[in-house]
Amino acid sequence: MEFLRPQTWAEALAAKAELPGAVPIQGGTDVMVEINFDVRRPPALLDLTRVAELARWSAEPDGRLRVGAGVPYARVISELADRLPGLAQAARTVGSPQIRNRGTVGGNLGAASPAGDSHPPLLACGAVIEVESAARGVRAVPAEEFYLGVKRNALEPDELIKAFVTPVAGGPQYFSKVGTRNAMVIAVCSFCVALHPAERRAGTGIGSAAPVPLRALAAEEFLAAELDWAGTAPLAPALLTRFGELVGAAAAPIDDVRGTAAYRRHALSVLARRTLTWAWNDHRKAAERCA
Amino acid sequence: MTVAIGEPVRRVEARDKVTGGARYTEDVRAADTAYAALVGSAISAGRVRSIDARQAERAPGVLTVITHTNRPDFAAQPPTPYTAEGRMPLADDRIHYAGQYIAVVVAETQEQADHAATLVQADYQRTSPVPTLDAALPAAYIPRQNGLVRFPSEYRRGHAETALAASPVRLEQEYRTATLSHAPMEPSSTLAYWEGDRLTIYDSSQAVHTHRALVATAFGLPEDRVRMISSFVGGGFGNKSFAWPHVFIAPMAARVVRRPVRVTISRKQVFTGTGHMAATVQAVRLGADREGRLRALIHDSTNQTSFIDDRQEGAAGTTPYMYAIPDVYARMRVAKVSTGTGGAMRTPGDSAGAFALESALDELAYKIGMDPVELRRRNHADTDPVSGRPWSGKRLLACYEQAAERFGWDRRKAEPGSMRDGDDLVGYGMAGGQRMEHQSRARATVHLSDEGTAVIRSSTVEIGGGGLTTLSQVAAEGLGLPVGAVTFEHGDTDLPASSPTFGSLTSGSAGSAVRLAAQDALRAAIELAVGDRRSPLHGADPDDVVAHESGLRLRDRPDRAESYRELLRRNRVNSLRGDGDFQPAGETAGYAMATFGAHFTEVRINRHLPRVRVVRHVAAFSIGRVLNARTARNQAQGGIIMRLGAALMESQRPDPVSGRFISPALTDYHVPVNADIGEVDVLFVGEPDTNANPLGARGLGEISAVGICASVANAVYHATGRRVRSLPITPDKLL
Repeated sequence: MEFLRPQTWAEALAAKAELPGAVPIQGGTDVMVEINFDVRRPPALLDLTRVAELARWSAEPDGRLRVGAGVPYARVISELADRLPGLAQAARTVGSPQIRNRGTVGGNLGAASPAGDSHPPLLACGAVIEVESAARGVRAVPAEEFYLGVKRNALEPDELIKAFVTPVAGGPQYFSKVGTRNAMVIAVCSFCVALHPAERRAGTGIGSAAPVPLRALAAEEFLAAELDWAGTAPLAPALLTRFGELVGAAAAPIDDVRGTAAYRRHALSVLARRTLTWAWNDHRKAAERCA
Repeated sequence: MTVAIGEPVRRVEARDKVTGGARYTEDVRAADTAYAALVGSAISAGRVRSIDARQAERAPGVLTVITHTNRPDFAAQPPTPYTAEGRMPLADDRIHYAGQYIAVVVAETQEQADHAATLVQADYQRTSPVPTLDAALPAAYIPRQNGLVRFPSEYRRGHAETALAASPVRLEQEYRTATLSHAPMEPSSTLAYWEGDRLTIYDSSQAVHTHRALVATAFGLPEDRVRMISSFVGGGFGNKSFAWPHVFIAPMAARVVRRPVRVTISRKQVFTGTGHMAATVQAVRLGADREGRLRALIHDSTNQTSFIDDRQEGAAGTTPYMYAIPDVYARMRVAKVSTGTGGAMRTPGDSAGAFALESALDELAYKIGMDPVELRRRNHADTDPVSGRPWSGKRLLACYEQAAERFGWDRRKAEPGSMRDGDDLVGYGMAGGQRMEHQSRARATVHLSDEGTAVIRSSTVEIGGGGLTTLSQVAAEGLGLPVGAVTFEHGDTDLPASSPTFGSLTSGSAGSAVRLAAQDALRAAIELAVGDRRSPLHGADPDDVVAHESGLRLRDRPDRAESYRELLRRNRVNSLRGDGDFQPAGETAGYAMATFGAHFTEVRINRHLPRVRVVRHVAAFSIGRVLNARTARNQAQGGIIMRLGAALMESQRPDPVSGRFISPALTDYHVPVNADIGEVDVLFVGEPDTNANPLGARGLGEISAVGICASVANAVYHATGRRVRSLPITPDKLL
């Protein structure tokens, strides 16, 4: 197995173009596990940890954040929690401190596991994934178009993930996850809701309950129609119940070693109700302060 | 008297362990070592038609590839169960389970061996596997090879069926426990080298003398030609109690390549190659009167075993000893599954068995409307119901009482589902536990030096339980020394043979040997002093001389005293040796011996997302004398937490087609993490139990892990009204 270690982004793209079978590696928290388990034996590993620009984040002229694919979860938590609270909450549930020091959102996107913790907040926030190839330059793929199947994403063989670009939170965001234990655990199912009061809508993201991470579109439409953005009343129980049902219905879970399909669907409804309640309560408090 | 026993002394090896100074088996280096990688079978049943090792043999650094076609012969099959499998590695072309070793690749480096192992091509002839215990159940039978022969496979007193039929209250239920993996941090490792016909073997073994005998038999050597060393074990829980195939592969490979060979199994092979606790299906039938007096009990357990061995998971083994029930029938059967042979796992038989029996008792308590503690009190076995002998130091009633009080059991509302806190359903549950106390011959010497220090020499292995510390305290107290003045040579067959570090033998058996050795050394020092004209103790009656502050003194005359240092130096004695040889009295003891426990658990279950959280667990144990309050508490908490894993999350599930384990990895086989564990409180009710042995201490490692699963399940029932009879209690079972 070749081990390639480009020093610059241009070198990385050239290497990927030359050897499309090379598997990019950041923290290695997914890639090395798969190699250890003999799930795959790629012809080459393309180590991106030397490419400095991947480890940076910055504000775009339009106010969105551009976060390099090599920014580890630990920095998402310590540097971006105020602007990307949903993603930071998800990052806190990833592995152990050691794993959070190494693992990256870019790696999560590359692995495209339906259980990846980054995906629900990226979907709920309306993030765009920036990918690039030496031949065709940069392409921006909306998160919901990025996940194509179990561990399959929209990357072409010569493309690398450069960054994700996401709006700064315009309202409360909550991520919640059920695991088989309380830490160091892959999700049985996960859910994120992000309120976008300026647009009078809410975004959602479902993890680990379908072949791909996905938005609960019917649930989002339901909220857009039903939420009283100007009001400061608590959410009606019927609204919460319906929202939970729609989120559960959006999933397409399976039975596996971590949980049953029936439990996943049920738990997603619970997570949906909870996170929306938390988010809406925050929104009400903010609205009251403004009033 | 210096009081050392019972003190919360910090582990004597703690500093070495946390600073990386402790040398584990994997850390041992030998010049010119070659490294082996073990190739596991991809299928779970069938035969190896052929193995093409040519590509592997040509790979860089490869010295040899050993298969069933070119292996050297073993001299003999050493006896099971301490030889874990009743089939020597690479014996023939048969495949009994997925992961069974079919080839050994030896290379200059581990990486080269691992790489070449991937190049070994096997052509299989598949037969149809028996994938699960359910598939095997119809063909269950009484084991022909009795597994661990602690308990017979069948036990009968009275006429249980008749008594059951005549009982006013009857209960019949089936309980299931999952296959569990030991999942220790340290993968097993063996380093073997030959010097002529002498074999040295460093092995992460829980029992060097026991395993040396097996290796000697396998290679046709007298035992004294084999030296086995186990410095520290990085967690065993029983998976290093038996000698698994890799232990025999390392010396075999070393003979082939004429170099030292290291075998460290992979993380995956920890799950497939060093045993597991076999899944059980247990039928329990209880008959009682309306006052809760048990009249009949039938406990019928079947566990999966491999096609190699009839290994009994003794789930009903302790049942006949537990309660004062006139009519009892217990049976343990095995059913052949295409899986590896089960091992001994904390706590063999009793963890699984107590889940069934103590759940059934809880069900009975609700059925007749009686407090579960009271039900157990009413059926307390004042004497051993099997032998009729009195118990040696049974304080189970005190365990119930003290743990219940500490827990606040009186706050429990009897009605299931009646205790709530917001969205949380709150449940209180309890269960008892019992483990028969075993003893083993154990030897030790204690050398008392003219520096006023002592050295214990004994082959006991430190597996993390704190044995080096507790035994040092035993020697320190016996000689009146500070614990810091005692050092330990351990884990080596060149030392006096201690008891194995499994079966909860260390405190009672190894501890008694050290006790006897310290007493013997003290006796020698006293003899020297009373016969020495220059000693202040000259001429004293030896019975009046006691150890005191690193020396001797007259019991009633503190001024007539001298230090060991003065005494030995004056007499030009470098050291005095004391020998200890503990021989169990066994059946002649006149007492029945067991350890006992009571568990009380509070669970909280969010009613929407019914995940069970154990927020509080209180346990009390009757184990005689507690040797070290700190290590004992730590060990008991560990046993409880281990079983909280079995109660709530652990399950090594078989693939329903092949029987192969689905999760042979820590990524998917989840054990509890800190965030899962609430308050775990441990009490010891014991007082020295010198009927059991000279030290008065019984084992703790195993009793600490008996009864927890039932206590949790009983609390879950109390919280929800849902009785879960199949472990683990995952949220989907409470939907």
